[in-house]
Amino acid sequence: MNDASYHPLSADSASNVNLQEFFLQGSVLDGSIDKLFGRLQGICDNVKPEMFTDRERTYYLSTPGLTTSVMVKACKSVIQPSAPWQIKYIGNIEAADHTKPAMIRSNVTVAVSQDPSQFLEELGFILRYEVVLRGQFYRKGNLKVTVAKLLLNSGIAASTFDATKLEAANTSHLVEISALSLMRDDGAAEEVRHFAQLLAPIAMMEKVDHRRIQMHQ
Amino acid sequence: MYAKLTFSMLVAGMHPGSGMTEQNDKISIASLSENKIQEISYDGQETYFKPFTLSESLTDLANRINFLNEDDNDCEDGEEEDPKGFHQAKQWPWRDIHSHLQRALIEMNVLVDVISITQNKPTTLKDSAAESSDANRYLMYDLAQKDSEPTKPMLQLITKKKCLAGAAKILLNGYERLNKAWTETSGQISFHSALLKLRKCWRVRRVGDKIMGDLSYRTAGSNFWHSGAFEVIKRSGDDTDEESSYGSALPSRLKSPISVEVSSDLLGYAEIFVSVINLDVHRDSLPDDVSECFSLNFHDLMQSSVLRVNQPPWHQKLVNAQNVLFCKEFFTRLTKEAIQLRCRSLYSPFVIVGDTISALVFPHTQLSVHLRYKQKPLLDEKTGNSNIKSLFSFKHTLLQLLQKDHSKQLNIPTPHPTSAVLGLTPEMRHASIQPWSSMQLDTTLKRDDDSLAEAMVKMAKHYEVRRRLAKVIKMILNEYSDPDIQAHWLTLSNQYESCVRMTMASFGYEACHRTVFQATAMADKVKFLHREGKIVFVEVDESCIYKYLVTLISGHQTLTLDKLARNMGWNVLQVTPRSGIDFNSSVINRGSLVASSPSFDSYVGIVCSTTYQGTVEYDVKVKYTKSPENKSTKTSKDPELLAMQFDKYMSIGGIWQKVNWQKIYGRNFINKVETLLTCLVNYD
Amino acid sequence: MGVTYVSQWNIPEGKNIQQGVEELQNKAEKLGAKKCGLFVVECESFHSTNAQNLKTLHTIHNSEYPASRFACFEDGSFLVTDVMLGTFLSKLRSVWQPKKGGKIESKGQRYEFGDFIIKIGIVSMGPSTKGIALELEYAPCRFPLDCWELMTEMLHELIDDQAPASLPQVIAQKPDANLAELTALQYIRLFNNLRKASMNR
Repeated sequence: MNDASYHPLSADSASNVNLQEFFLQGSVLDGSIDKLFGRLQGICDNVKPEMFTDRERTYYLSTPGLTTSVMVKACKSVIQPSAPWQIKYIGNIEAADHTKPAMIRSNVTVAVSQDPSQFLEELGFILRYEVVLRGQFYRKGNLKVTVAKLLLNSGIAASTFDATKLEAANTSHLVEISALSLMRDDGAAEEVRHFAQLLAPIAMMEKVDHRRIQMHQ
Repeated sequence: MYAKLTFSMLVAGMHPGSGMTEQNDKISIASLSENKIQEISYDGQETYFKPFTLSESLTDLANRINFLNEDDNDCEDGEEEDPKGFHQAKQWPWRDIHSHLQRALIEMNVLVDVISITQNKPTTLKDSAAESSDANRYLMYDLAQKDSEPTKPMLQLITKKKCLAGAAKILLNGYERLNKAWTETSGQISFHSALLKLRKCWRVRRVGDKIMGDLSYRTAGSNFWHSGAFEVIKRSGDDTDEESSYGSALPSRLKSPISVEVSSDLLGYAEIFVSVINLDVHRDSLPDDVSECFSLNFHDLMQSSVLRVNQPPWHQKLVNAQNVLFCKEFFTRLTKEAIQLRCRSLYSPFVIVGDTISALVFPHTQLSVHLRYKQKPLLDEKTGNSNIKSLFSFKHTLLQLLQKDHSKQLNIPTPHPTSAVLGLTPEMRHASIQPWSSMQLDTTLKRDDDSLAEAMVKMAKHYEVRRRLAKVIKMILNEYSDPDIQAHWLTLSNQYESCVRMTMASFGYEACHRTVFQATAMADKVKFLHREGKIVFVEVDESCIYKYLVTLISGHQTLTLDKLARNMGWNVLQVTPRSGIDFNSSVINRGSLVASSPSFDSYVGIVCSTTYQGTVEYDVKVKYTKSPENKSTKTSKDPELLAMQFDKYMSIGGIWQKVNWQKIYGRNFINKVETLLTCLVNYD
Repeated sequence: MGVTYVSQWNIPEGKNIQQGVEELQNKAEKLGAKKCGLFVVECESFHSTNAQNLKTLHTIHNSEYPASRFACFEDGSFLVTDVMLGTFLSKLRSVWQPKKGGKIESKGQRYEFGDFIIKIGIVSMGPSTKGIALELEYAPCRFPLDCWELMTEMLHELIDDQAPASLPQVIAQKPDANLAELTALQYIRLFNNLRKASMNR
């Protein structure tokens, strides 16, 4: 896989490699999800799509000096509980770049051996919310496409996770296309945009101004 | 004032058809208003006569009395009559009402009957007899008696015939239409149905106004540069040309309205030909070489004409083109790897000349891969020649490897959770978490990294080693009949290793001692695994294997003798299956045994040695001791005095004498030794 | 992954670090150990710019486990992660900054002697060397309490006078902890001691 220069198993990798993620998001109503699946099956690699169920916890760390907080997500798979936890640092979206075809943000994913909640709390992060994403995973070359439904824990306690008591947050699925690449290497952006165009008009994937969403928080 | 009266008995009789129930229907009767209307004014207001006052009512009653009727019996009869008259007076005013109601009932019944008849309602009563006797039915159905018509069979027959003919005509019409439609379509396969057939087997897509297809393995994970595109063309029907070229062998329905255009470098027929050749100069013919020729299609299209008939011509063409593409990809892959490979296991590096890749895997064994490409169908010349008894053929393994590579490219395990990095196997994901040391990383992750060229070299070497091992074993079996040697080749083998299990036992003495060992032919060496757990690696050279087997034979003999002697009660003084020294320098190994009889009368010394030429030599010597029975054999060198004085010195002395081996009775060596031992024991 | 014991080796009087290292290496080779490459154990510390949070975060990179990084809070949680930890922490630079003079490492030869792995390393902080660290690992065993006697014997052979009398505190406190954690904690302790010692001078 020519996935940037991420060699997770070589000791001499430059551990300061900066990864940026090109992505586009959109949504599809539950009723038209089958059409989307059909189209994705045709466009993506010739592999059967896999179901996934991930628990995602979002932590925020507010710095006294800066206005924006640092966001980190801790993800764990429910279907394959032996797979390790992942901590994902998600940077702010590079704003005001109308020339770029897709949204860009920096993304660092670290695999960890056990539940990182205590570690993150000691770092100063505070758990904001927890969400379960259940859906299908498609792949095309370097691109990752996920079509998932957001499910919420019906109880409020985040510690007691019951896989059976999940209810949908809304009546649509979230579609996300993402590709990782090195800093200043913009080839993947065009791929993402081209792919997104193929999904229209079922799912309209456009650049969204996240600042407006963040202001609501 | 309203007066309600219940006419229960009356009404019960009047109710139609309800003789069984005793419903008492109540009829409410209201009398007219007591006060008569005097006048109704224009605005609707009614003025009533005022009711009589007492005085006025008295006056009224008085007016009614007829004073002129004088009766003597007035008092008496009047009393009697009055009640009757009163009764009658009571009944009398209701009689009218009664009769009115009765008439109303009759009319209602009639109405009901009429309505039920017009509506064809089924009767409520069960049989018609009950119905006719019902008092309340005034109108009812009765079956009409029809006059029976005289039967006219002829007419019936004729009418039936006519009706049937009409129905048959309709059916026949329909059949004819369907038949026409079917013959039309099957006779000339339309463009669209042919295209549909094509789409069932091949990937086709419309690009602009052209129809393009893809016959490459891209969707299966291949990264080959060739796009494998073909074009589907609608044929406008140059029928005469086609017919003449094919002759009359092909039925007309194979003329397909579509034809395919494949890129020119995929035309023709290709095959990969792998051979392992023995370049031994002494041999003139090459009986032992492996020739394996393979292409993708597992059934040979060239030879079976039966299959050809049923398949449309474009299918064959596309299949051939795909085959050529596959062979090309395979060969390109192999070439690339052959150039880059720093294979230490090769005797001489890969030499790539045009269409052939060859290398020497052993000093006299050459592996060569040749891509045969011709315009006409290839004829297989050498398939009859193959002495291949291999379970794992080159073809399957190499095809499998290439396919595995393709699928590895495509089937990357999904990251769970999805935010993890793409491309790592679950093992690799755990490697950093667990944590794994560098040694663990090396061994586990580079385990199955066999490239095509390496796999092929390994398989060729293994084949050669196995061939040599088999040859040596055959030689040994031919030369040595003394210990019975049996060799069983195990089916538990793979393309890089195979095993043979060998048993050595002397005939008749299998229970005495048996040597069992397993020889594994690997790519670089031969491994011998003995029953006691000893593992010996032997070079791949034929003579080395031969010598080792011979040493095993002599060792076996010595060990058998040891057991035999013990079984027979002899005391084994010394047994050495393997010692590297001997007086004779031409001996590799010397196994010896010295045993004495139970009564210490005689000693036997046996030597089994293996020479450098690869033969086993036996040397048996016997020594008689100075026991009283053997006095005749004592020599002057022995100290007689000592021996005669003490019994315990009886068993010293004597000289070793060689045994005349030819004269001893016995079918094999062990048998002869047994005879010897039996003879030497003195039974008193 | 086996049970490890990490400690500082005091250099005898009158010798400098280089000679001390040579002495240890000679001892190991006399025992019969074979040289098997180099090893590096690096430790980087971070502290929070947020004044309320006084904890220190240590990250360790051990060449024995090249695919992993260890993150440890003092008296806090412990995580084994993959190599992206450095990048992750660099993104948090606004909150967690590396300590001044924070990077400390132990570098040296690695010896293998049967089932034992002996590592003799020079501890240095930047250009200046601080001392000698010795690590002994007994690879087959995973339970420190079970093989402690064996390791003590081996240590007596190696560094007779400085061999520990009893289980080190780190192991004694949490004998059932993850072996990686125990190793990391021992190294952190060692580096902290050396840092304090150098600051006190």
